[in-house]
Order: sequence, then C-alpha cells, then structure tokens
Amino acid sequence: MRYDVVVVGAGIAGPILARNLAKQGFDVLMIDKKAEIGSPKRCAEGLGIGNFKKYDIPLDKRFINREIYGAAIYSPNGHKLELRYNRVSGVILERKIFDKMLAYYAGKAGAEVMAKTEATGLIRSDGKIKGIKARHEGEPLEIHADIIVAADGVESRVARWAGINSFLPPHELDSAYEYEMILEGFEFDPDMIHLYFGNEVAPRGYVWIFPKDDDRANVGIGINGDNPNTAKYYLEKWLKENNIKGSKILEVNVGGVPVGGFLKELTKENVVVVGDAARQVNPMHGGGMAEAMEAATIASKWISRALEEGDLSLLENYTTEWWANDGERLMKVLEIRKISEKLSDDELDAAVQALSGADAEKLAAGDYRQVFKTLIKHPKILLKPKMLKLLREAL
Amino acid sequence: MPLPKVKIDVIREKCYLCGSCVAVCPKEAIIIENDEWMFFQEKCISCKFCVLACPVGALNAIPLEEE
Repeated sequence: MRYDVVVVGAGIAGPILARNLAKQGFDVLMIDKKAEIGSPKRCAEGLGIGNFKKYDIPLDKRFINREIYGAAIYSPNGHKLELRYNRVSGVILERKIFDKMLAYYAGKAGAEVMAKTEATGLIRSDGKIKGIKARHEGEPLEIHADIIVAADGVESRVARWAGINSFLPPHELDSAYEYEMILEGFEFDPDMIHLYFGNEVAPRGYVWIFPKDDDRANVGIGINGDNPNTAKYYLEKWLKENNIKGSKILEVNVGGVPVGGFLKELTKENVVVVGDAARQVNPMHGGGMAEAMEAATIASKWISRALEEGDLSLLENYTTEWWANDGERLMKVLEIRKISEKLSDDELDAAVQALSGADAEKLAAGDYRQVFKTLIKHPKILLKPKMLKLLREAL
Repeated sequence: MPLPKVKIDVIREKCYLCGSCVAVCPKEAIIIENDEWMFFQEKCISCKFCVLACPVGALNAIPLEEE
C-alpha cells in the first residue's frame, strides 16, 4: 500500500486534514482504530458556530443536538455571570455522528478511510520513516507514505515513535468524567451552557452542563490530573450536593485533556502532529475541536506545499505558522489559566462579580490585558491583595 | 533515591480505555492496543503518574516487595 499521506486517527484534526489534501488530488489514507468512527467519544460536544463556515463544514442537522445562545458561569458562592447572545453562538454536537460525517467528507473528497485499523509502529529503512505498520482485524498491514500524520489523540503513540517528546506529566492533563443524562428537579436554561467553578467543586477545572434537550445534557467535570481524588469522585459529589439523582444516565464518557502547553516541535522529519496529540487545546476551557481544525488547516497547507515541491523541510512552516498564531493566543490563555487556578473560592467569587460577560469572553480567547487593567481597579478585587498581585504581575 | 518499586494493576471492569494513563507515562510502560490495556514492568519507573491521572480510579499501584 502506497500513499502520499497516511493519517492516523479520525477524530477532528485527522478528517479535516485528510479532506483538505484529498481535495487537492493527493492520495490520502486515513485509519482509525475504532470499529465505529466517533464512538466512544471523549467530549462535552460544544462547538462555536463560526467554525462551520471557517472550516467549510456543512451545518447538517444529523449531528446537531441543540443550538446554544451563550454561557453562564457560576462562582463557588453561586454568583452568576451570563454571556447571552440574541443569535445562535454555538451548538451541542453528537460527536459519534459528527466525526463519522467528517470522515465521510474526507472520503467524498477522495481520501481512503479504514476503520478498525490500528497503527502498531513505524516503517523505517535507511534511517528514514517510510510509513506506518498497522493491523486490521489482526491482519498486519504495511502502509508506505511520504508523510505520516499523527492525529491519534491525547495518548498519541505515533508522535513518540517518531521521537517527538509528547509525554504529558499528570499536572498538564485534566482528568475528565461525564454523564449524558436526564436532569430532573434541577433548573437550567437549556439554551445556554452552564459552567460551575470552585476549588471544592472542580479543582482547577469546572463542572459543565451542555444541554442536548431541555431535560437532557452532557454533565461532566474536568479536574487537575495530579489530584489524589478522581474526576468521577468530584462529579458524583457535585450531583449529590445539588440533589441531582443519577438515575437516568444514557452514556458515560471518560478522558484526559492536555491543558499544560503545546508541542514545541509539531513535525519531525516527515511526521506531522495535530490536535490533542500535539496538545492543541484551549487550556482554559479544555475545548480542542476548533484548535484541531485550525491546526489541520495549517498543516494540510504545508503538507501540500511540501509534496508539490518535493521538499519535506517545508513542513517546518506548519510549526512556525501555528506558533505565530494559535500558539501565541493559546499561550496567553494558559497564562490566565495559571492565574485562575491559584485563586481561592473567595477570589473566584470576586472575579465573577467583577467581570462582565464580554470580559469573560475576552479571557477565554487569551485577550487579558485590558480586562486585567479594569479588574485591578475594581472595588471587589482591591480587597484581595493576593489576587491583585497575581494580576499586576501578569501585566 | 529510587522510588519504591510498584506494579500497576488495572481493574478492567472500571477502565474505559481512555488513554490518560498512556499519555502521562514517561516511559511507555502502559499501552492500549486492540482494546487491551497492557503494562510492561521492565519499563515502569514506579512514578505512579498513571494512578493519579486515571479519571475513574481504575489503576492501583501494588508494592512489589509485598507480593
């Protein structure tokens, strides 16, 4: 088997990249170890509405559970910060259909797709990486390709085989646990996503409610990966404290989210790393779909150039371009996250009271300078010397 | 000082094969292949990062001396 490009992993980054390259006429094979692309998912399934147009994805109702009009943030003491739009701002997807449709679009564009096909190693000869060894239903395959794309998720093995140090210490991982469930006896606005913060609620992270119906939602949690308690423990505790019976659970989802920084080198020789495998996730909210789409877009552009010009060194431009744009933005988000994770419950309360919805949106996008400048003059924050110091140091 | 030697055990019924343990292992001592969780004692440095990172508490570190 011989291809221009072999893509390992059909999550978000993999199929977007495969589609883009197949559209340009390159021979692309995308493999995924799962028998059913998209399942099981490890995701809260929220995606900003702008990404569909930006990355040329049809708004197909088959993978859209619900349209969302904004977000509500709750402080430990129950103060609420609302960010509501009068138009659709995002959707709650059905990932198990969305991922499969993304793979379908890649296939339609001309890529070959093979589910239930797991990468087991690299093909190396003459000191060079020549392709991927894989297995399909126990049958060994040798897939030769000029370029290998590691889109194999947080547990990426392809990047490590290529000698890229993608080891993630537990404090750089968020440990996540989620139920898709029917929420009974608990008031929530199903047109908004809901985020609950607090050191007792979700250390470093938050509890989320992402509605799929007016009574059905993804209810999940992310906490610091080096916490001695489990994500499941904290979610169960929160449900109990809020008198939510867990008696109508439709799905359980578990996963790790890379939130501690991004791969410095996104390529090595002819191996290109994208998405969770490259740690390209927003470290504030743990979402990585938009980031994966952006990385796949940049990577496919440079893979195409490298193949056209027969010059693999052009791949390095993917690293440069990603770091100059999304990398720089996400590093700022990471700085903010490193401040917010140090805040006590009291300080989180003050922050939620002092911030406007627009401020919160800016922070999630890494745009903190103006927000911090306003915060340090806010009467609520002036009473918090430790927080004031953290904010001033960041300015 | 070397870390006290442990063996990592999985409670298979609790494990979702989410790969968090694979991601945090500095030595590739844990892999998931063909929907199977696998541990390689000779690679393990007993850091127990995997036990910490597991979202559901499916992993246990068992002291080797007490075996």
